[in-house]
Amino acid sequence: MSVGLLSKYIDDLIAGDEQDIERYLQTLPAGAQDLLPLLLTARAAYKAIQAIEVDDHRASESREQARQTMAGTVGAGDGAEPPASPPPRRQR
Amino acid sequence: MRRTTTPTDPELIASVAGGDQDALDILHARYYLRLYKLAYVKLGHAEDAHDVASETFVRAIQHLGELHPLHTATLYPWLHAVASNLITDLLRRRRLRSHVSLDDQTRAEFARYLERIPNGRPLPDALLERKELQTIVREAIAALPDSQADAILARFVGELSIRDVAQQLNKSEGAVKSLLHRAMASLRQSLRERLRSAGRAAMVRGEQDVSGPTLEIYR
Repeated sequence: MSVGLLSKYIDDLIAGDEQDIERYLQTLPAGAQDLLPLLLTARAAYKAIQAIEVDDHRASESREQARQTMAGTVGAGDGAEPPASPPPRRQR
Repeated sequence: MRRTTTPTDPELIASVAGGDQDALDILHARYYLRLYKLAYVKLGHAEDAHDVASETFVRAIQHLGELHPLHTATLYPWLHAVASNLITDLLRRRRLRSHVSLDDQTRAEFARYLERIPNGRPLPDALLERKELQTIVREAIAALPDSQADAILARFVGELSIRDVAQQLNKSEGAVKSLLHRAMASLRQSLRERLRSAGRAAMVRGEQDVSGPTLEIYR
């Protein structure tokens, strides 16, 4: 039962439909003490992942690299840039 | 390509196969961030994560011939699998090393958060928004056994349904739910241990006293 409730809670987190955590626990009062920390952990994990931000400049570089690869692979239509090698990977 | 409604992935894949740059841009906008997050959680390194996300798109384009006939409802599971393989290759070459430290107050508050009994107060979003705490959580996810980390990432990053995760991991839906349950229990335990370690390290460094009542739950 707690397995299903945790899954439901994660579904709601992802969908942005998270309810008060007490409401989930009320459906499983006998297991609430065990379930609560798992819900809180899931919430912390989800928030930590959602908080990751992307560098827009690097995302643009990636999009350009994808365009160039497409041009070289499938042959783009009118207005497409000529095939080009992908940009070199950075040295670490 | 003129579009009046949101195009599906199969439509976009077909358009990309025909050299449609707009279609490629839409797919990139749709999935780049998810791939970046997936890689960032596992690798803990922004540049490597960008490289993985970019290389995944390059490989998708190079394998359009395989993707096009699949008529897959969403491209993401395929991208996720490719990115995961790239991440595994990178991880073979290096191990993660954490440079994060938590101040005593954050550590104590998060310890309480992991244990607290709800009493009607709003959950502490401000706490979960602290960067160093988010880093600790992400590192703890990355350090889980692969199957558990993969399940969490497929759900939380890929936002895949249980059914899609089951397909991705070649398990039954019930097995995936159980796996996620175990993953959360493992993650909680890992976080508790990391908080304890951070406390000991702070004591060694002669930082704030960590023996206060706020950490009683770890005694």
